[in-house]
Amino acid sequence: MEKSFSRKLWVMYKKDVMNLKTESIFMLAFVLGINAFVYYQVMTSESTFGAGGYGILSSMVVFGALFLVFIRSFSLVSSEWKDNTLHMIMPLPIGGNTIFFSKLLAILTQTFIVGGISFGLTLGAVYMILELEDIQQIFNFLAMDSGSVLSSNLMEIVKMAGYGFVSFASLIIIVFFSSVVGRMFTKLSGLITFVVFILSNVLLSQITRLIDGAVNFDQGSRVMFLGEPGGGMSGSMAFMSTPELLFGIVFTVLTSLMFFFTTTYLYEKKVEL
Amino acid sequence: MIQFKNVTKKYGKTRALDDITVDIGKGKITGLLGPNGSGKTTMIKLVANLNKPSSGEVLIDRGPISQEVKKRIAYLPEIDHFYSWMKIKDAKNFVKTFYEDWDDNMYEELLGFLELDENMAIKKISKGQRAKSKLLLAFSRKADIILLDEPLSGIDIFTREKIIETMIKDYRKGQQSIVITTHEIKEIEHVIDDAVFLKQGKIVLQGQVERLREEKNLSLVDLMKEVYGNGKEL
Repeated sequence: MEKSFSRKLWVMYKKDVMNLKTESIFMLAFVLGINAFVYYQVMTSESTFGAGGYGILSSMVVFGALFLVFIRSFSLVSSEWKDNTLHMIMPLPIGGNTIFFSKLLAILTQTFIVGGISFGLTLGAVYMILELEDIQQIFNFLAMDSGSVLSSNLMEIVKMAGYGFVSFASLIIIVFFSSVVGRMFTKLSGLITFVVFILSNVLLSQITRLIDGAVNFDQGSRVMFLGEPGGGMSGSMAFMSTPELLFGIVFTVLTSLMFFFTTTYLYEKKVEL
Repeated sequence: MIQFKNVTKKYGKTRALDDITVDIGKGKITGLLGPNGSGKTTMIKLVANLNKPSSGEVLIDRGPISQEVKKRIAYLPEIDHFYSWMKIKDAKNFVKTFYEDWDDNMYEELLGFLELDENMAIKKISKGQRAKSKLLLAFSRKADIILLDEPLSGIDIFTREKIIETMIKDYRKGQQSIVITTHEIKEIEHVIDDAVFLKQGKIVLQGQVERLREEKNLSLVDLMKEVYGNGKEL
Protein backbone atom coordinates (compact mmCIF):
# COMPACT_ATOMS: atom_id res chain seq x y z
CA MET A 1 0.00 0.00 0.00
CA GLU A 2 1.33 3.42 -0.91
CA LYS A 3 2.33 5.55 2.05
CA SER A 4 0.69 8.95 2.44
CA PHE A 5 2.43 12.22 1.64
CA SER A 6 2.52 13.09 5.35
CA ARG A 7 4.21 9.77 6.17
CA LYS A 8 6.87 10.39 3.52
CA LEU A 9 7.37 13.95 4.74
CA TRP A 10 7.70 12.68 8.31
CA VAL A 11 10.38 10.16 7.32
CA MET A 12 12.31 12.81 5.39
CA TYR A 13 11.95 15.22 8.31
CA LYS A 14 13.22 12.65 10.82
CA LYS A 15 16.19 12.01 8.56
CA ASP A 16 17.04 15.73 8.42
CA VAL A 17 16.59 16.13 12.17
CA MET A 18 18.97 13.22 12.71
CA ASN A 19 21.49 14.96 10.45
CA LEU A 20 21.31 18.03 12.70
CA LYS A 21 21.27 16.18 16.00
CA THR A 22 24.98 16.19 16.81
CA GLU A 23 25.46 19.90 16.02
CA SER A 24 22.38 20.79 18.04
CA ILE A 25 23.83 19.02 21.07
CA PHE A 26 27.15 20.85 20.63
CA MET A 27 25.36 24.19 20.26
CA LEU A 28 23.36 23.59 23.43
CA ALA A 29 26.48 22.53 25.32
CA PHE A 30 28.17 25.74 24.14
CA VAL A 31 25.24 27.91 25.21
CA LEU A 32 24.97 26.16 28.58
CA GLY A 33 28.72 26.49 29.15
CA ILE A 34 28.77 30.24 28.39
CA ASN A 35 25.73 30.90 30.58
CA ALA A 36 27.13 28.87 33.46
CA PHE A 37 30.50 30.63 33.22
CA VAL A 38 29.04 34.15 33.14
CA TYR A 39 26.52 33.37 35.89
CA TYR A 40 29.35 32.07 38.06
CA GLN A 41 31.37 35.24 37.37
CA VAL A 42 28.48 37.51 38.24
CA MET A 43 27.64 35.68 41.46
CA THR A 44 31.17 35.21 42.78
CA SER A 45 33.11 38.30 41.80
CA GLU A 46 32.89 41.93 42.57
CA SER A 47 33.04 42.74 38.89
CA THR A 48 31.01 45.53 37.40
CA PHE A 49 29.53 43.05 35.00
CA GLY A 50 26.11 43.22 36.64
CA ALA A 51 22.76 41.87 35.60
CA GLY A 52 22.50 44.24 32.64
CA GLY A 53 25.83 43.13 31.24
CA TYR A 54 24.91 39.55 31.84
CA GLY A 55 21.61 40.03 30.03
CA ILE A 56 23.35 41.58 27.01
CA LEU A 57 25.98 38.86 26.88
CA SER A 58 23.47 36.03 27.20
CA SER A 59 21.28 37.64 24.54
CA MET A 60 24.32 37.65 22.31
CA VAL A 61 24.72 33.95 23.03
CA VAL A 62 21.09 33.38 21.97
CA PHE A 63 21.70 35.25 18.71
CA GLY A 64 25.00 33.43 18.31
CA ALA A 65 23.20 30.09 18.61
CA LEU A 66 20.64 31.19 16.01
CA PHE A 67 23.47 32.35 13.75
CA LEU A 68 25.06 28.90 14.02
CA VAL A 69 21.71 27.34 13.05
CA PHE A 70 21.59 29.67 10.05
CA ILE A 71 25.14 28.76 9.00
CA ARG A 72 24.35 25.07 9.40
CA SER A 73 21.44 25.40 6.97
CA PHE A 74 23.97 25.93 4.16
CA SER A 75 25.67 22.63 4.87
CA LEU A 76 22.39 20.75 5.34
CA VAL A 77 22.03 21.04 1.56
CA SER A 78 25.67 20.86 0.48
CA SER A 79 26.46 17.84 2.71
CA GLU A 80 24.05 15.77 0.61
CA TRP A 81 26.58 16.16 -2.22
CA LYS A 82 29.68 15.92 -0.06
CA ASP A 83 28.56 12.75 1.73
CA ASN A 84 27.09 11.20 -1.44
CA THR A 85 23.72 10.82 0.30
CA LEU A 86 22.10 12.49 -2.69
CA HIS A 87 22.45 9.07 -4.35
CA MET A 88 19.89 7.92 -1.81
CA ILE A 89 17.57 10.91 -2.15
CA MET A 90 17.52 11.68 -5.87
CA PRO A 91 16.22 8.31 -7.07
CA LEU A 92 13.30 8.45 -4.59
CA PRO A 93 9.89 8.89 -6.20
CA ILE A 94 9.28 12.21 -4.45
CA GLY A 95 9.48 15.78 -5.63
CA GLY A 96 11.79 18.57 -4.55
CA ASN A 97 8.92 20.08 -2.52
CA THR A 98 9.01 17.23 0.00
CA ILE A 99 12.80 17.23 0.15
CA PHE A 100 13.20 20.95 0.81
CA PHE A 101 10.11 21.34 2.97
CA SER A 102 11.41 18.63 5.30
CA LYS A 103 14.77 20.40 5.48
CA LEU A 104 13.05 23.69 6.29
CA LEU A 105 11.00 22.04 9.04
CA ALA A 106 14.13 20.40 10.47
CA ILE A 107 16.01 23.73 10.57
CA LEU A 108 13.02 25.46 12.19
CA THR A 109 12.82 22.66 14.75
CA GLN A 110 16.49 23.16 15.51
CA THR A 111 15.86 26.91 15.79
CA PHE A 112 13.03 26.34 18.28
CA ILE A 113 15.03 23.89 20.36
CA VAL A 114 18.40 25.66 20.36
CA GLY A 115 16.93 29.19 20.39
CA GLY A 116 14.25 28.28 22.93
CA ILE A 117 16.60 26.59 25.37
CA SER A 118 19.18 29.39 25.01
CA PHE A 119 16.50 31.99 25.64
CA GLY A 120 15.10 30.01 28.58
CA LEU A 121 18.54 29.71 30.16
CA THR A 122 19.18 33.42 29.71
CA LEU A 123 15.80 34.34 31.10
CA GLY A 124 16.21 32.06 34.07
CA ALA A 125 19.67 33.33 34.92
CA VAL A 126 18.72 36.99 34.46
CA TYR A 127 15.72 36.42 36.73
CA MET A 128 17.98 34.99 39.41
CA ILE A 129 20.48 37.83 39.12
CA LEU A 130 18.12 40.78 38.84
CA GLU A 131 16.94 42.73 41.83
CA LEU A 132 13.24 42.56 42.66
CA GLU A 133 12.64 46.17 41.65
CA ASP A 134 14.19 45.55 38.22
CA ILE A 135 11.81 42.66 37.66
CA GLN A 136 8.91 44.85 38.73
CA GLN A 137 9.96 47.47 36.17
CA ILE A 138 9.90 44.86 33.43
CA PHE A 139 6.46 43.68 34.46
CA ASN A 140 5.27 47.26 34.62
CA PHE A 141 6.49 47.78 31.09
CA LEU A 142 4.75 44.66 29.82
CA ALA A 143 1.60 45.47 31.77
CA MET A 144 1.17 49.00 30.39
CA ASP A 145 -2.22 49.53 28.86
CA SER A 146 -3.54 47.32 31.61
CA GLY A 147 -7.13 47.44 30.35
CA SER A 148 -6.55 44.61 27.84
CA VAL A 149 -6.06 40.91 28.61
CA LEU A 150 -2.68 40.98 26.89
CA SER A 151 -0.98 44.34 27.17
CA SER A 152 -0.33 46.14 23.92
CA ASN A 153 3.42 46.19 24.54
CA LEU A 154 3.51 42.43 24.97
CA MET A 155 1.30 42.09 21.90
CA GLU A 156 3.73 44.22 19.90
CA ILE A 157 6.63 42.05 21.01
CA VAL A 158 4.71 38.88 20.04
CA LYS A 159 3.92 40.38 16.61
CA MET A 160 7.55 41.37 16.06
CA ALA A 161 8.67 37.89 17.13
CA GLY A 162 6.24 36.39 14.60
CA TYR A 163 7.61 38.62 11.88
CA GLY A 164 11.14 37.69 12.93
CA PHE A 165 10.25 34.02 12.66
CA VAL A 166 8.79 34.42 9.15
CA SER A 167 11.88 36.39 8.12
CA PHE A 168 14.19 33.71 9.51
CA ALA A 169 12.30 30.98 7.61
CA SER A 170 12.56 33.12 4.48
CA LEU A 171 16.31 33.49 4.98
CA ILE A 172 16.66 29.71 5.24
CA ILE A 173 14.73 29.25 1.99
CA ILE A 174 17.08 31.71 0.28
CA VAL A 175 19.98 29.65 1.66
CA PHE A 176 18.46 26.55 0.01
CA PHE A 177 17.98 28.45 -3.24
CA SER A 178 21.57 29.75 -3.24
CA SER A 179 22.97 26.31 -2.39
CA VAL A 180 21.08 24.63 -5.21
CA VAL A 181 22.16 27.31 -7.70
CA GLY A 182 25.74 26.91 -6.46
CA ARG A 183 25.55 23.15 -6.91
CA MET A 184 24.57 23.55 -10.55
CA PHE A 185 28.18 24.53 -11.15
CA THR A 186 31.01 22.06 -10.75
CA LYS A 187 33.59 24.75 -10.06
CA LEU A 188 33.44 27.49 -7.42
CA SER A 189 30.07 26.28 -6.20
CA GLY A 190 30.73 27.61 -2.68
CA LEU A 191 31.56 31.08 -3.96
CA ILE A 192 28.56 31.07 -6.32
CA THR A 193 26.32 30.04 -3.41
CA PHE A 194 27.61 32.96 -1.35
CA VAL A 195 27.24 35.49 -4.18
CA VAL A 196 23.72 34.31 -5.05
CA PHE A 197 22.72 34.51 -1.38
CA ILE A 198 24.00 38.09 -1.05
CA LEU A 199 22.48 39.20 -4.37
CA SER A 200 19.09 37.65 -3.52
CA ASN A 201 18.99 39.54 -0.23
CA VAL A 202 20.12 42.80 -1.83
CA LEU A 203 17.43 42.40 -4.49
CA LEU A 204 14.74 41.75 -1.89
CA SER A 205 15.76 44.74 0.24
CA GLN A 206 15.75 46.99 -2.84
CA ILE A 207 12.25 45.83 -3.79
CA THR A 208 11.07 46.37 -0.19
CA ARG A 209 12.55 49.87 -0.18
CA LEU A 210 10.87 50.71 -3.49
CA ILE A 211 7.48 49.52 -2.25
CA ASP A 212 8.01 51.30 1.07
CA GLY A 213 8.70 54.52 -0.81
CA ALA A 214 5.71 54.09 -3.12
CA VAL A 215 3.16 53.14 -0.47
CA ASN A 216 4.43 55.53 2.20
CA PHE A 217 3.39 53.52 5.23
CA ASP A 218 1.98 55.19 8.28
CA GLN A 219 4.96 56.01 10.46
CA GLY A 220 3.26 54.68 13.54
CA SER A 221 6.38 53.16 15.02
CA ARG A 222 6.54 53.77 18.72
CA VAL A 223 9.52 54.11 20.97
CA MET A 224 8.95 52.75 24.46
CA PHE A 225 11.11 53.50 27.45
CA LEU A 226 11.84 51.00 30.13
CA GLY A 227 12.07 52.40 33.59
CA GLU A 228 12.61 55.99 34.58
CA PRO A 229 14.88 58.29 32.56
CA GLY A 230 18.32 58.04 34.09
CA GLY A 231 17.35 54.85 35.92
CA GLY A 232 19.32 51.64 35.86
CA MET A 233 17.01 49.80 33.44
CA SER A 234 16.22 52.36 30.79
CA GLY A 235 16.02 51.32 27.19
CA SER A 236 13.98 51.68 24.05
CA MET A 237 12.11 49.60 21.54
CA ALA A 238 10.81 50.62 18.16
CA PHE A 239 7.71 48.90 16.85
CA MET A 240 6.46 48.76 13.27
CA SER A 241 3.01 50.07 12.50
CA THR A 242 0.39 47.38 11.82
CA PRO A 243 0.08 48.03 8.04
CA GLU A 244 3.84 48.00 7.68
CA LEU A 245 4.08 44.78 9.67
CA LEU A 246 1.32 43.15 7.62
CA PHE A 247 2.97 44.22 4.41
CA GLY A 248 6.28 42.86 5.66
CA ILE A 249 4.78 39.47 6.49
CA VAL A 250 2.82 39.15 3.22
CA PHE A 251 5.81 40.25 1.14
CA THR A 252 8.15 37.86 2.95
CA VAL A 253 5.75 34.92 2.59
CA LEU A 254 5.20 35.58 -1.13
CA THR A 255 8.89 35.98 -1.95
CA SER A 256 9.68 32.89 0.16
CA LEU A 257 7.19 30.86 -1.85
CA MET A 258 8.73 32.12 -5.06
CA PHE A 259 12.24 31.19 -3.92
CA PHE A 260 11.03 27.84 -2.58
CA PHE A 261 9.34 26.74 -5.80
CA THR A 262 12.25 28.00 -7.90
CA THR A 263 14.56 25.92 -5.71
CA THR A 264 12.49 22.75 -6.13
CA TYR A 265 12.22 23.36 -9.89
CA LEU A 266 15.99 23.74 -10.23
CA TYR A 267 16.54 20.65 -8.09
CA GLU A 268 14.21 18.54 -10.21
CA LYS A 269 15.21 19.81 -13.64
CA LYS A 270 18.79 21.02 -13.42
CA VAL A 271 20.62 19.35 -10.56
CA GLU A 272 22.82 16.40 -11.49
CA LEU A 273 25.27 14.10 -9.81
CA MET B 1 12.14 -1.82 -21.80
CA ILE B 2 14.81 0.83 -21.33
CA GLN B 3 15.60 2.80 -24.47
CA PHE B 4 18.45 5.17 -25.17
CA LYS B 5 17.66 7.23 -28.24
CA ASN B 6 20.60 9.18 -29.66
CA VAL B 7 21.72 10.02 -26.17
CA THR B 8 24.71 12.28 -25.70
CA LYS B 9 25.88 13.28 -22.26
CA LYS B 10 28.53 15.93 -21.86
CA TYR B 11 30.35 16.99 -18.69
CA GLY B 12 31.89 20.29 -19.71
CA LYS B 13 33.84 19.49 -22.85
CA THR B 14 34.01 15.76 -22.16
CA ARG B 15 31.53 13.51 -23.91
CA ALA B 16 30.72 10.73 -21.46
CA LEU B 17 28.17 9.28 -23.89
CA ASP B 18 28.29 10.00 -27.60
CA ASP B 19 25.05 9.60 -29.54
CA ILE B 20 24.11 6.24 -28.07
CA THR B 21 21.09 4.30 -29.27
CA VAL B 22 20.35 1.02 -27.58
CA ASP B 23 17.41 -0.98 -26.24
CA ILE B 24 17.87 -2.80 -22.96
CA GLY B 25 15.50 -5.74 -23.03
CA LYS B 26 12.73 -6.28 -20.50
CA GLY B 27 13.05 -9.24 -18.17
CA LYS B 28 16.73 -9.81 -18.81
CA ILE B 29 20.01 -9.31 -17.02
CA THR B 30 22.11 -6.89 -19.05
CA GLY B 31 25.77 -6.17 -18.44
CA LEU B 32 27.17 -2.76 -19.30
CA LEU B 33 30.83 -3.55 -19.79
CA GLY B 34 33.88 -1.46 -20.40
CA PRO B 35 36.93 0.15 -18.83
CA ASN B 36 36.89 3.20 -16.58
CA GLY B 37 35.52 6.27 -18.29
CA SER B 38 33.71 4.33 -20.98
CA GLY B 39 30.28 5.66 -19.90
CA LYS B 40 28.80 2.72 -17.97
CA THR B 41 27.98 4.63 -14.81
CA THR B 42 26.64 7.57 -16.81
CA MET B 43 24.17 5.22 -18.51
CA ILE B 44 23.01 3.89 -15.13
CA LYS B 45 22.72 7.41 -13.72
CA LEU B 46 20.59 8.51 -16.65
CA VAL B 47 18.16 5.66 -16.01
CA ALA B 48 18.13 6.39 -12.27
CA ASN B 49 17.40 10.02 -13.17
CA LEU B 50 20.49 11.30 -11.38
CA ASN B 51 21.68 12.82 -14.64
CA LYS B 52 19.89 14.34 -17.59
CA PRO B 53 20.93 13.77 -21.20
CA SER B 54 22.56 16.70 -22.99
CA SER B 55 20.65 15.56 -26.06
CA GLY B 56 18.50 12.60 -27.02
CA GLU B 57 16.19 10.80 -24.61
CA VAL B 58 16.07 7.94 -22.18
CA LEU B 59 12.72 6.16 -22.07
CA ILE B 60 11.31 3.41 -19.92
CA ASP B 61 8.41 1.51 -21.47
CA ARG B 62 8.31 4.23 -24.13
CA GLY B 63 7.73 7.02 -21.61
CA PRO B 64 9.93 9.56 -19.81
CA ILE B 65 11.31 8.81 -16.34
CA SER B 66 8.50 10.24 -14.21
CA GLN B 67 7.88 9.88 -10.46
CA GLU B 68 5.62 6.92 -11.25
CA VAL B 69 8.40 5.24 -13.21
CA LYS B 70 10.90 5.91 -10.41
CA LYS B 71 8.71 3.84 -8.09
CA ARG B 72 9.61 0.80 -10.20
CA ILE B 73 13.38 1.33 -10.12
CA ALA B 74 15.83 0.09 -7.50
CA TYR B 75 19.25 1.70 -7.72
CA LEU B 76 22.46 0.52 -6.11
CA PRO B 77 25.28 3.09 -6.46
CA GLU B 78 28.95 2.24 -6.44
CA ILE B 79 29.73 4.70 -3.67
CA ASP B 80 28.52 4.51 -0.06
CA HIS B 81 25.39 6.62 0.08
CA PHE B 82 24.07 5.99 3.57
CA TYR B 83 23.74 8.68 6.24
CA SER B 84 26.45 8.32 8.86
CA TRP B 85 23.97 7.80 11.72
CA MET B 86 22.13 5.00 10.00
CA LYS B 87 21.97 1.42 11.15
CA ILE B 88 20.83 -1.14 8.60
CA LYS B 89 17.33 -1.04 10.07
CA ASP B 90 17.23 2.77 9.80
CA ALA B 91 18.10 2.51 6.11
CA LYS B 92 15.40 -0.14 5.70
CA ASN B 93 12.75 1.98 7.45
CA PHE B 94 13.74 4.96 5.35
CA VAL B 95 13.68 3.19 1.98
CA LYS B 96 10.55 1.10 2.55
CA THR B 97 8.45 4.23 3.13
CA PHE B 98 8.81 5.26 -0.49
CA TYR B 99 8.21 2.00 -2.30
CA GLU B 100 5.05 -0.07 -2.46
CA ASP B 101 7.02 -3.07 -3.73
CA TRP B 102 9.03 -3.41 -0.52
CA ASP B 103 8.82 -6.96 0.82
CA ASP B 104 9.53 -7.46 4.54
CA ASN B 105 9.74 -11.25 4.17
CA MET B 106 12.32 -10.92 1.44
CA TYR B 107 14.25 -8.45 3.59
CA GLU B 108 14.34 -10.85 6.56
CA GLU B 109 15.36 -13.74 4.33
CA LEU B 110 18.12 -11.75 2.63
CA LEU B 111 19.36 -10.37 5.93
CA GLY B 112 20.08 -13.92 7.06
CA PHE B 113 21.41 -15.01 3.69
CA LEU B 114 23.87 -12.11 3.56
CA GLU B 115 24.84 -12.68 7.20
CA LEU B 116 23.96 -9.15 8.27
CA ASP B 117 22.48 -7.89 11.51
CA GLU B 118 20.05 -5.00 11.14
CA ASN B 119 21.43 -3.35 14.27
CA MET B 120 24.81 -2.89 12.62
CA ALA B 121 25.86 0.77 12.35
CA ILE B 122 26.66 1.16 8.66
CA LYS B 123 29.64 3.47 9.14
CA LYS B 124 31.32 0.88 11.38
CA ILE B 125 30.99 -2.19 9.18
CA SER B 126 33.45 -3.46 6.56
CA LYS B 127 33.37 -2.52 2.88
CA GLY B 128 32.03 -5.94 1.99
CA GLN B 129 29.24 -5.64 4.54
CA ARG B 130 28.35 -2.20 3.23
CA ALA B 131 28.18 -3.63 -0.28
CA LYS B 132 25.89 -6.35 1.05
CA SER B 133 23.76 -3.74 2.85
CA LYS B 134 23.25 -1.86 -0.41
CA LEU B 135 22.33 -5.10 -2.11
CA LEU B 136 19.93 -5.96 0.71
CA LEU B 137 18.01 -2.71 0.18
CA ALA B 138 17.90 -3.11 -3.60
CA PHE B 139 16.76 -6.73 -3.56
CA SER B 140 14.26 -6.49 -0.69
CA ARG B 141 12.00 -4.86 -3.24
CA LYS B 142 10.13 -6.49 -6.07
CA ALA B 143 11.27 -3.72 -8.39
CA ASP B 144 10.74 -4.11 -12.13
CA ILE B 145 14.13 -2.55 -12.87
CA ILE B 146 17.22 -3.02 -10.75
CA LEU B 147 20.28 -0.89 -11.54
CA LEU B 148 23.55 -2.13 -10.07
CA ASP B 149 26.54 0.15 -10.49
CA GLU B 150 29.78 -1.78 -9.90
CA PRO B 151 28.35 -3.96 -7.11
CA LEU B 152 31.48 -6.15 -7.13
CA SER B 153 34.06 -3.37 -7.10
CA GLY B 154 36.73 -3.78 -4.42
CA ILE B 155 34.96 -6.74 -2.84
CA ASP B 156 36.64 -10.02 -1.87
CA ILE B 157 35.89 -13.18 -3.82
CA PHE B 158 33.59 -14.70 -1.18
CA THR B 159 31.44 -11.60 -0.91
CA ARG B 160 31.36 -11.30 -4.70
CA GLU B 161 29.97 -14.82 -4.95
CA LYS B 162 27.38 -14.00 -2.31
CA ILE B 163 26.37 -10.87 -4.21
CA ILE B 164 25.94 -12.79 -7.46
CA GLU B 165 23.97 -15.50 -5.68
CA THR B 166 21.69 -12.80 -4.27
CA MET B 167 21.19 -11.36 -7.73
CA ILE B 168 19.95 -14.60 -9.21
CA LYS B 169 18.29 -15.99 -6.08
CA ASP B 170 14.87 -14.41 -6.50
CA TYR B 171 15.30 -13.05 -9.99
CA ARG B 172 12.04 -13.08 -11.92
CA LYS B 173 13.13 -13.81 -15.45
CA GLY B 174 10.90 -12.23 -18.05
CA GLN B 175 9.47 -9.72 -15.58
CA GLN B 176 12.40 -8.13 -13.85
CA SER B 177 15.21 -6.29 -15.66
CA ILE B 178 18.62 -6.07 -14.05
CA VAL B 179 21.26 -3.74 -15.45
CA ILE B 180 24.73 -4.24 -14.04
CA THR B 181 27.98 -2.40 -14.68
CA THR B 182 31.20 -4.13 -13.79
CA HIS B 183 34.81 -4.81 -14.60
CA GLU B 184 34.53 -8.28 -13.12
CA ILE B 185 33.26 -9.88 -16.32
CA LYS B 186 34.47 -13.35 -15.43
CA GLU B 187 32.23 -13.47 -12.39
CA ILE B 188 29.06 -12.35 -14.12
CA GLU B 189 29.60 -14.00 -17.49
CA HIS B 190 27.37 -16.94 -16.59
CA VAL B 191 24.64 -14.69 -15.21
CA ILE B 192 24.02 -12.02 -17.85
CA ASP B 193 21.75 -12.50 -20.84
CA ASP B 194 22.82 -9.47 -22.87
CA ALA B 195 26.03 -7.47 -22.99
CA VAL B 196 26.73 -3.92 -24.10
CA PHE B 197 30.40 -3.06 -24.56
CA LEU B 198 31.23 0.60 -24.23
CA LYS B 199 34.33 2.49 -25.22
CA GLN B 200 34.87 6.21 -24.83
CA GLY B 201 31.16 6.86 -24.68
CA LYS B 202 30.23 4.76 -27.69
CA ILE B 203 28.79 1.28 -28.02
CA VAL B 204 31.32 -0.92 -29.74
CA LEU B 205 29.57 -4.24 -29.39
CA GLN B 206 26.23 -5.46 -28.14
CA GLY B 207 24.02 -8.49 -28.24
CA GLN B 208 22.95 -11.68 -26.53
CA VAL B 209 25.88 -13.14 -24.65
CA GLU B 210 25.25 -16.64 -25.97
CA ARG B 211 25.19 -15.44 -29.55
CA LEU B 212 28.28 -13.27 -29.14
CA ARG B 213 30.19 -16.21 -27.73
CA GLU B 214 29.14 -18.45 -30.63
CA GLU B 215 29.77 -15.86 -33.33
CA LYS B 216 33.23 -14.91 -32.11
CA ASN B 217 34.02 -18.25 -30.53
CA LEU B 218 35.38 -16.41 -27.53
CA SER B 219 34.43 -16.05 -23.89
CA LEU B 220 33.23 -12.62 -22.74
CA VAL B 221 36.56 -12.02 -21.04
CA ASP B 222 38.42 -12.76 -24.28
CA LEU B 223 35.94 -10.66 -26.19
CA MET B 224 36.62 -7.80 -23.86
CA LYS B 225 40.36 -8.24 -24.37
CA GLU B 226 39.77 -8.10 -28.09
CA VAL B 227 37.70 -4.95 -27.86
CA TYR B 228 39.83 -3.03 -25.42
CA GLY B 229 43.19 -4.75 -25.25
CA ASN B 230 43.99 -4.64 -28.94
CA GLY B 231 42.17 -1.41 -29.55
CA LYS B 232 40.16 -3.04 -32.30
CA GLU B 233 36.45 -2.54 -32.62
CA LEU B 234 34.59 -5.72 -33.44
